[in-house]
Amino acid sequence: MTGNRSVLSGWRAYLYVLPILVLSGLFLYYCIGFTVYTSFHSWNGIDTDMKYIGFDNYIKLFDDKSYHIALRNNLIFFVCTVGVQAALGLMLAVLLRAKLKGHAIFRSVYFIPTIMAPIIIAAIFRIIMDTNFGSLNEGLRAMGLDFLAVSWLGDPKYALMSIIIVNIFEWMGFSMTLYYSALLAIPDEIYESAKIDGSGFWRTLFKITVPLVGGTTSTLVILGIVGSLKTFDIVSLLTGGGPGRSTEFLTTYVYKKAIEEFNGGMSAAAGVTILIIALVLAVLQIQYTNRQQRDL
Amino acid sequence: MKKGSFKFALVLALSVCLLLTAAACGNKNAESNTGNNGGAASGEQETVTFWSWVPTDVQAEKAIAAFEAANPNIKVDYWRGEQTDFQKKLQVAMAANEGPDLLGMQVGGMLNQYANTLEPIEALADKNWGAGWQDNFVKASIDQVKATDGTMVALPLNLTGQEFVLYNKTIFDKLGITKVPATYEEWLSVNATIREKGDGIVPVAFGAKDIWHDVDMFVSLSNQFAPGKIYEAEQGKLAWTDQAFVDTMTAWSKLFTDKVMQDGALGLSTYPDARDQYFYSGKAAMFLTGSWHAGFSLPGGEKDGTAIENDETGIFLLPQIGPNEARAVASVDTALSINKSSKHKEAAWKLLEFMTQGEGQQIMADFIQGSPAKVGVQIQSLDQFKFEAEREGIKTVNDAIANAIGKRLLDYPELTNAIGVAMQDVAAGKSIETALKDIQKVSDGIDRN
Repeated sequence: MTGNRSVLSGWRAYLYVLPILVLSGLFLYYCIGFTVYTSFHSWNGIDTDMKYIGFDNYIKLFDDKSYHIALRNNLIFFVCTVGVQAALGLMLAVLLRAKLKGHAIFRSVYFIPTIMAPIIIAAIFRIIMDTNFGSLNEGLRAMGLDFLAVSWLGDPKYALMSIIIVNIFEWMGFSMTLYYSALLAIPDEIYESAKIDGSGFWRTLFKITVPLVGGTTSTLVILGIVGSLKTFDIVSLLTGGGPGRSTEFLTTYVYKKAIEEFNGGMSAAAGVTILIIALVLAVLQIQYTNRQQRDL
Repeated sequence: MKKGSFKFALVLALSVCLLLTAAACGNKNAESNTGNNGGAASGEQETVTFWSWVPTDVQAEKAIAAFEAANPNIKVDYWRGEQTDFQKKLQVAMAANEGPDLLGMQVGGMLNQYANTLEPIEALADKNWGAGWQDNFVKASIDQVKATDGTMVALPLNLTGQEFVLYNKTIFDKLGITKVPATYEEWLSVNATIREKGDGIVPVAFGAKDIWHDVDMFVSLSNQFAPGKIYEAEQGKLAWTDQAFVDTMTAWSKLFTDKVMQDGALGLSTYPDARDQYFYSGKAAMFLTGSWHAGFSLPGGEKDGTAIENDETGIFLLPQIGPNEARAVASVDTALSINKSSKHKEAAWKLLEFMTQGEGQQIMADFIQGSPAKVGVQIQSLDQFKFEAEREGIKTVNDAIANAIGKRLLDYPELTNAIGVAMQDVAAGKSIETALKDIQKVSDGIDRN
């Protein structure tokens, strides 16, 4: 009897995960499998005919200068946004935890960009960053800083940086919210003890706060990896990957190959490389976090 | 029922539901592939789905109402999207065999890619219109709706050309500019006057962020330096490093170094940025665009409600920059195709016929979305324009399109992208030689068979 029950509960366990298996199988694993399959074919993304071409798409992809630029831009974007977003988010969270006057209003204000549609944020920044009539350059000129009134989105030297700034503006509130939640879980006694021991603001921040919110930082890094690899909307809306290819991202590259150039095979190959990069980075990050937790 | 059993039953039911949903998705596709509905039975109303970027909503409202009044058994379900949104939606839908019955088609690269999924048109036209029907279409337009294998898979709705300059005559008059520029030197002189006396008005607004617009400019300009050579290079019969393209790129680069294009042009899209933030807000005196903008000042058009709605505006052809006279390049702007797997081909044909040869042609012509593709259609809305320069603009545009030197849209999308990227690189300071080599590399990789 016991044996039968054990077999049954084993089957039941599988049944409990069946709904999510069906859903992810349909909408995730099938799509991944199809993308991998497509990456070995020549396909315009429309016809039913697909021609097997082996690794040709991958060979062309790795030979494509635009793809290299996209990889480089994604890396710069990831390093800049994740670090700065986390640092600013933590600073804001620490300030908000101090319960300064009006902190509830500030908390909402900082979080608003996170819930705003990217198309609205991009439209606003396109107007703000306009070279001739944008408020950013108008302000700089009014202060006599004409030399700083550059073409933020139209000059390859500044376009990527502009995208990074807009992205930080959009997601800083998200980092702040996660850190704020983590900070609320730290007992006040720890801070009071530190204060009694004569620890100042910076020492408390780096010796107490930062180590205790390590888990949140780790989560933000993983989300940052995935987020930077998925970044499309804000780039597409602000610069479209240009001028030239100067702000090309992996996602805009995939989009252009598939939709604009009708090259479904090469687009799929680029998509597969994004998946592999995301998996490798996520595994490395998880291993690093596990090692850190063991060391603690 | 025990608590555990209830949970078990619930999970089982949910799983079965999901599997059934998945199966239903599959069935839907299968039905759509193999459906044998040849049309509505007599007396039943049939619905034709129609997706495009043109007609616009205002135009579609009038055209579709007229069509439905003339064809009470057919209901048109029209979806309109901006061209980029339309392209995305269409590609996914056609790949899933769930495309519309009638669809807008851009000639060149798009038409070639979709050709296998579209109904060959000539047999249908022969059957419905008899021999010689091609003569009812503007010659240049009917030549462009064929795929590379020669199969005609669309019919033209209208033609548009490039490169044109929309200008604010009220600003010109205020600054004492009495003549629109016809040469590069005149253009520079007009721009200098605007900069000097215009109180911050930008002379020219150009959306160089858009690759499609940069390439339009390249095709126009190259035909001023070496007429027709770009079409040879397009087909791989001439190197992109040829002197013709060095000269074209040099002229393009000069447009930036001579400050004809406004500062920051590479970060500005044609629509909405250059149009709305610059020209329509009265902050720019000129705006580079296509012939489709000639009717923007009709009552109820784009100009209404803008800061320049009471200003007199006009349109002129891009000034002569190269050694040869400036002439427009023109292509079918919107063609219409029937989906090969449509279950309502007859009804879709009726709508196609209405739009390309019937009353729909006149309705579209009167909105001045482009030049009519049907021979002999006269625009009847000219008296609605408020100003003479606007009426003259229509003549300018139609004459230029009739006298076009070649086609506007190239056959290979990857080549279009490569030219656009190279142009933006050159405008940002890259060497012309390297940029042209980049185009050549992409051109070498194109399978033209």
